[in-house]
Amino acid sequence: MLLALTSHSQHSEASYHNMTIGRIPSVEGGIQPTIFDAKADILTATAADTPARLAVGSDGDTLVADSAATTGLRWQGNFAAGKNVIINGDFRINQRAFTSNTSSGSYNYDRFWQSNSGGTVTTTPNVFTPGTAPVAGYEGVNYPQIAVTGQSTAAHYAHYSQSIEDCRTLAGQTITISFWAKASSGTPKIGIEWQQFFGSGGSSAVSTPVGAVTLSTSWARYTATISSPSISGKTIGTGSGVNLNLWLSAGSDSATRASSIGIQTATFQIWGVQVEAGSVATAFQTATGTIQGELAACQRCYVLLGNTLNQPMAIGYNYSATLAIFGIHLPVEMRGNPTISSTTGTNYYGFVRNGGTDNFNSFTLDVVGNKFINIYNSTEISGTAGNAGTLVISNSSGFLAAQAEL
Amino acid sequence: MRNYVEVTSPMGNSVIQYEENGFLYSIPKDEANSDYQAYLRWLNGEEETGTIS
Repeated sequence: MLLALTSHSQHSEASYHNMTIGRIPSVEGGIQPTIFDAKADILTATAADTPARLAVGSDGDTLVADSAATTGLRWQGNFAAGKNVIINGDFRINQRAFTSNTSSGSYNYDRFWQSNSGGTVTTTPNVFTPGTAPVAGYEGVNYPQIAVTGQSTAAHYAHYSQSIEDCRTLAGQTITISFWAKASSGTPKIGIEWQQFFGSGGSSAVSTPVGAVTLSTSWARYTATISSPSISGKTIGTGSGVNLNLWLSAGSDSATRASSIGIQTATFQIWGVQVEAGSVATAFQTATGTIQGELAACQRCYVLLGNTLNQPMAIGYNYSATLAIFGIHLPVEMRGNPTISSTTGTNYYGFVRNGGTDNFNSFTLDVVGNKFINIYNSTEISGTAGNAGTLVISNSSGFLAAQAEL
Repeated sequence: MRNYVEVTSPMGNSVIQYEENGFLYSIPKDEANSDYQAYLRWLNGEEETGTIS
């Protein structure tokens, strides 16, 4: 490069601005321009006085020094954590342990939910055979399969979505959405929508249709870059966010939002969902980059507290002979005060105290915060005031969870 | 259509409850809770949607 500067300094100002590397050959012993083969190739060296070309890397790659590489440099995918605003984009976390899900508006893999009107949408969990995940360098574990059938009218639709907390997320920025997908058969489309919503009492939602991609029966990565709208002038209420909606079928009523993919009967597989700032889809990484971090990020919205026979869930005490109160310290601070969901049945739960177990059927929420909750039973409990003990699941159908989804 | 009921604990705290698909849901009266927002929409005769396990 120093040779190049010396060379063009001998030319007029006009020729400086029109300078090309092609002037270098005029310098005795200079580096030949033919060393470069493509845009963004860079000049490096394999040893002292031994120039060499390093071919341009892939979009989004990072250049790192590597003494073991021939040129001392190499391109590396950007696997840094913190760039992906999608939580659980690799579908590793499945606290609900769902086996099949057909309910519209319900969650399956953590943070992902499905919605449909008409027909049947069935989401099932799948596990990659080791070595068959769609991207080298990231060994995926799980992926959802979503089958859409029986839709026909203008009002029918189906989409698979994640709600991202806070409408400020990536607002006013150029963003790139990417995911891997394939179809079981045929060439169905997925319509992509970025939808900002402004919460209770806030402005009306803003839909940004991104476009549609056409799948094949092989895994492929699909990317789209858009300008996420500014939120200037918007009123932000409680519980705002952004939906990434992957439309799988859409009658004419939803055509605009779904980029006109139309009514479809198809089975989709999706993995590696990422939304990041910038105009390039960089290497996939989860939001936090670690299993524990991703679980904690999921638990901000949903915590499974117990679903296994004999599992201890809380400590508690007899407030009176017929009232037991149990305190549960949540593993992370949740997004808000959670709803408690539980199953109910004869002797589903047990209060182990005072040398025995007092079985009962159900819980009710008493007081709740986003760090700690109290639940109680006052219908079957029979004990001695002041006794303390442990709350356990006494039936394999027992279940307790806290949820604070958007 | 969900059948919401208000339940008051022996300690004097009240929550909203409903049952669906074999699960009992206890919802805090917190406007930031999306299930409570669904309950408020139900009270107003609007379509209620909320988080479900």
